[in-house]
Amino acid sequence: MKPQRSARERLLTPDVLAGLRNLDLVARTAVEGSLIGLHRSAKFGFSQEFAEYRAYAPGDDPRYIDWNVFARTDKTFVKRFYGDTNTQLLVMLDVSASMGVGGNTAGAVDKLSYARFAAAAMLHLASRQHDRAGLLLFADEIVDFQPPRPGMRNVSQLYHRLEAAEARGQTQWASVFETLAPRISGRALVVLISDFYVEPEDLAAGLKKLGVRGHDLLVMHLLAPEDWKPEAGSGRLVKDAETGRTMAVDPADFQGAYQTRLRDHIDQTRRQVLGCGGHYLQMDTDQPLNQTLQRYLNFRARHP
Amino acid sequence: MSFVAAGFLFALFALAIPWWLHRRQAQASDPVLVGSLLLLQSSPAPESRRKTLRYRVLLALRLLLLALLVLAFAQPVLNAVLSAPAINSAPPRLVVVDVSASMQPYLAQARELAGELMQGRSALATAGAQLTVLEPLTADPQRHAAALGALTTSAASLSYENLPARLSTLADSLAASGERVSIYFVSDFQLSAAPARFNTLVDGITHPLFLNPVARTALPNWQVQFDGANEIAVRGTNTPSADVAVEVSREGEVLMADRLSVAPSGQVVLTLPTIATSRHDQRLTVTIVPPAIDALAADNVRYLVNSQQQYQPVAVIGSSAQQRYVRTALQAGDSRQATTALTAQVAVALDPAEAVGELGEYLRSGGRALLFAGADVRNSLAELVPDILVVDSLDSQRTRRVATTDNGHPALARVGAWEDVAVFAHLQLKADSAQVLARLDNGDPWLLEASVGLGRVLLVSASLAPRWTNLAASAGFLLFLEDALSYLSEDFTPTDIAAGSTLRLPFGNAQILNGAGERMLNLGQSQGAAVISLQQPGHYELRTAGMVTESESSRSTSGRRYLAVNVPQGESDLSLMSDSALQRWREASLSDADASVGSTEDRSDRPDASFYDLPLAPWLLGLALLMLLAETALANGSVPTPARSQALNS
Repeated sequence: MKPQRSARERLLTPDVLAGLRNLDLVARTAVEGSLIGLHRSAKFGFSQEFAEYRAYAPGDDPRYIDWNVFARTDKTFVKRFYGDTNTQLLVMLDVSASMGVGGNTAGAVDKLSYARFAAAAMLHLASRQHDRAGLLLFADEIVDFQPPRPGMRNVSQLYHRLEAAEARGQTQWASVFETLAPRISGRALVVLISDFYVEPEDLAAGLKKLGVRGHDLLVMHLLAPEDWKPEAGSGRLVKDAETGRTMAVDPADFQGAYQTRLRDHIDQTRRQVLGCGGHYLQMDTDQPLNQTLQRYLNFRARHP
Repeated sequence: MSFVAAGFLFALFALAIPWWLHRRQAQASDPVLVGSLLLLQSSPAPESRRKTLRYRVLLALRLLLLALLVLAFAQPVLNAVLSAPAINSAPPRLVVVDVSASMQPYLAQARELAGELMQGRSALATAGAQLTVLEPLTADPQRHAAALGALTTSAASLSYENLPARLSTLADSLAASGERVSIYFVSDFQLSAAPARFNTLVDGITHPLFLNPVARTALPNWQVQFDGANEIAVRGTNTPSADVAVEVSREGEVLMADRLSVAPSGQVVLTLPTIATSRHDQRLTVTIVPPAIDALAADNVRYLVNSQQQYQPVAVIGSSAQQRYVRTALQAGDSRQATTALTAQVAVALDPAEAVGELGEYLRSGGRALLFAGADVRNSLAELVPDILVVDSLDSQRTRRVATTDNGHPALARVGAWEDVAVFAHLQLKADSAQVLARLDNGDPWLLEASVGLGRVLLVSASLAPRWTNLAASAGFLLFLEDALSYLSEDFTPTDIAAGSTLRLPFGNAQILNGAGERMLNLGQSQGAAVISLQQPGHYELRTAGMVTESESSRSTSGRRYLAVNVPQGESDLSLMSDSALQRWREASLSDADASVGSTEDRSDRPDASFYDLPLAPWLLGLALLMLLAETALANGSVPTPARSQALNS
């Protein structure tokens, strides 16, 4: 039995967000909905924009004590600023044909749509924090690439590129990483969103090319309900969305051995990502987007 | 091969349903799209091929099953040929040729076909207004040929209703007792002759009946019909658009001539010119001259009579209360003039106790009366009508009903069965030489007709008073009163009848003259014949004994009475029964006659061969049953998977 969702969560379910159509609106809705009730400290950072004073507590960095206030009031207060990490954010989105799978289950959308929402929300967050944001769409080659730039106008352009993305082609991981790595200048937070139907070792080889350049890696592994239970029809033939190859399978395999293999695959992928110094998040397309963003924000709080 | 119900073949379109369902199921089993085959393991392929094979076999079985059912409902019949029957051992044949008016275009073909069918011991008969045997059973070919030469058509009509039963009766009368006779009916199988109820085509068949059509397509025909009132209609059936000349003449004088444009298979209605009133009936003739293509010429002339007959006054005597009722009824009906004096030609006597002597004198001197005999005339009835004896005085024990009526009598032609008439009391009469027209449920006469001197009486064995009978209040009383008085006053003569129908002569003393003035009956025949059948269309003149002897100027309403005889309207429509209807009749005729070897030859192109129709429907149904069993077995049988096979093997 599914747990009851709060009204806020219901507003952020993928199908509701899909109805908003405007990606900017989707991003704002998702982000603002996710920030409500959050502890503000999670958002504070090293920006030059003053936010508030707070009484000093043991453990606070003494560099942020406002001595002028101490001189006037004889009390120690810490100055706090809105977070401005001055970080580059690069969202890498897999737009291969396999990302078009999904959306047949109630409340879910296909993986590409969900990824589009998540990416838009992260780009919006980045713009709020004055980070530079960039976007890379890839499949068998780099479909679209916008290096990280500052400003809301840039983010708006990225929204348009996201909206134009279509699921097609077959992912060629090695060539994508090889092409991309030298084109990112400076350190960046690279968020890689894909369903990762790739051998984990091959993925690791690509990730390492990014890791050696000092980038922070966040791998978001996207799974649709159809990935867990592909036996939507009564037939025994399955077709690979990317290669078009068909194969006869035993329906009983979907219920047992396949799911075990999928879990093993997820586990191995996570291990390989962690082994490359990256961070791993699993996302399900039937879950509200704010849960995903929450986990992303937690990640950002730990990695300002 | 032919189909009895070919319309069912349209159901073959239903084959699209299983095909569509299978396609839909096949589409439902189209490959399921997955993100990648990376984590999937293929299963052995043979099972998929087996499934495909099973799918195709199932589809074929279902399509075949449906097709067989449709074909079975369409009732296919295989026209097969039997070996030539040994003529000597074959049953005798009765060949009956339809000689109704519609057969005129086909007479030569019918004669030829009948000649081919008359093999071995055969009889020849014609079916028109009545069945007529031209030649009884004989094996003499010369007599066959002579009988065939005598075949002519009439202007009468033929209805197929109960015809098979009548033919079987005729066959019984011709053959030795218990001998099976093969009846061959040669006809055009005109649609208008077919009855409304199919059962009447097969009921009463005791001999095999083989139907032999001489026509396959309906011929074009023009006709002129009188549509009642003052209008005639020029009609064409299966005809192209054409101009038709029309001429209306009265007593040989042309009143109107016109030319009408008639649409294909259409009609044009023409109003007759106004004709001045005359003392006598007038003969009208409407003639059309159609284009060259016209199958039936006899219906191009329509004979009409402009009747000038008037009703005779009626004397009403007897009970005053009943008199008022009867006078009112006369006014309400034919508007006859009622008098109280017995000077009129016809009278209604309502239990006239005080006028019995006067009524007897009236009848003996030639008067005609409708007499309601109650208690008042009971004692003097034997004296009044000597042909009737009163057996008992009165039967009032229980209510009686009218059991039998002679509806062929003009006085009872319209009253039907008189079912609503209850008789609470009646005189028990015994008819001596009088004719009983209706009887009560205990067998006692209810209505009698008898001669009294020169006169005639219709006698009802009860008074019209309500304590005797509810006849006066019954639905048919007015009709009975009108018809009885018309009959007695000789007003009953119709003016227009169909050729071949019978005409009841007034009191047997009549002469019929055809258009050429020739007598149709001699004096001896006219004395004995109560009815006469007029076969040929034309104007006829009817004379009764009184009319011949009396001066025309002595009676204002007397004079020549004419009768128009025309080709029956239904004969003019040469449309034919459908092949399917004919086939159904054939099958029913053979099955009802329990024919051991049937021959439903529709055309005896090979007179020494017999044809029979083999119904294929039972075989198709059997095959469909097998298909159903196979489909059930295949659809419900499980195809073992490798895992299951391994489990079974272990």
